[in-house]
Amino acid sequence: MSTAFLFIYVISLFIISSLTNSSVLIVLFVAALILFYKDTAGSLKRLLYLLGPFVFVMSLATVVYYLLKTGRFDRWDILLNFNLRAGLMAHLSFVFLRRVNMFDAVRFSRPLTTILSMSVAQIYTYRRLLSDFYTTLKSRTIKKQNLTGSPRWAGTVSVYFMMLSIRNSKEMAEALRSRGV
Amino acid sequence: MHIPEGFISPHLSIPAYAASLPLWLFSLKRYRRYVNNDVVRALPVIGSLTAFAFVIQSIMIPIPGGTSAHIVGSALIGIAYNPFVAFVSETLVLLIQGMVMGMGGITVLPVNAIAVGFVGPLVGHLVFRLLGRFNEKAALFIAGYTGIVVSALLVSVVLGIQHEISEKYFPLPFFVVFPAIMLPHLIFVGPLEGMYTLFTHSMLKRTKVLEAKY
Repeated sequence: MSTAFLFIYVISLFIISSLTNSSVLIVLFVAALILFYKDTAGSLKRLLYLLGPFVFVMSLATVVYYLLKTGRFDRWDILLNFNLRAGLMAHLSFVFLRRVNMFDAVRFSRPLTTILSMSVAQIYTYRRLLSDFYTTLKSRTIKKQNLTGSPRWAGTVSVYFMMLSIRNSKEMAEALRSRGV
Repeated sequence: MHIPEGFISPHLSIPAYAASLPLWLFSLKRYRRYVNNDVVRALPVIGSLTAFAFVIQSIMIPIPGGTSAHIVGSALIGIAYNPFVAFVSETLVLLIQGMVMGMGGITVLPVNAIAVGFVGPLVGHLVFRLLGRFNEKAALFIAGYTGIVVSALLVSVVLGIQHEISEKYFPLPFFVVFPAIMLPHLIFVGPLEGMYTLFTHSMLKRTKVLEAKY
């Protein structure tokens, strides 16, 4: 069932990405908000946080560009169009991610499921470790770092993560072998 | 730097899928060669290198002006391993960002994968091979710098083409988007990526981590 939802989701994204009529996009956006009303609040929060800054800058740049070009702004269709399309596609993605288990959805391909689960498990661990590194850096840095300080710190952290991921990959390969894969 | 969902029309995304498909297949073949055709080893190697590529993209570095930029690190992987290995991992990073974390897109995947995951590591790798024999440290810096700048250039070209196809997807023309993307990359992000590539590669070499291999 999850796989079917994945295909529906991907096809929907391509269909929405081909729409250029603002009225159709408004109807679809409102319909998606109503249809998935349980996820709407959470999704809008994420929309504002993840997509908000980018579409805000894009909208502002569009208004300024047309103001400078023609002296007045009357291209609301353009502004509405890309905001609605980007918003609708992101909303559908958030709803999909909330409701469908991604690992179950890609079950049709065993290597892909294995790679995804191996990667995502490590990513969550590494992100937690990275936040520890940030805390450590913050607690031990009194002065602001110089120009090369931050990339050097990032390099040290990266070396640690590379060592960790090399060790993890070897351990996982051995674990797979021991299970007779 | 990558393009979010909704700003690229199928006129561009479908040809981009068609162009990247053979590239993905070829890169997977090279990946198998990298692990000596050991399929059991291949999956953990891809998984681990993808996690590594993902986490280095999460590292934020403050830049002048009170904001911060994240490292991409694709040139580093292209130099340390090879551009095709980097391409597979970076594509998976984008796929995970889009399909697991909700921070990317499916329709824009091939455009982003080619720009960030293929062109960046390939340029970085070639620059390093070309200049490395003269001065390794300078070559590493230039490789990291050019890798990210050329990726940014490709993204601005794609957005410029998208504007020509339909301004309803991307309203700003190339002459606006080009400086808007390129200036921060030429002045801040490029030098940052260059320094990161130089420091990290030197440390990897010094600590003999590169010899350990995946």
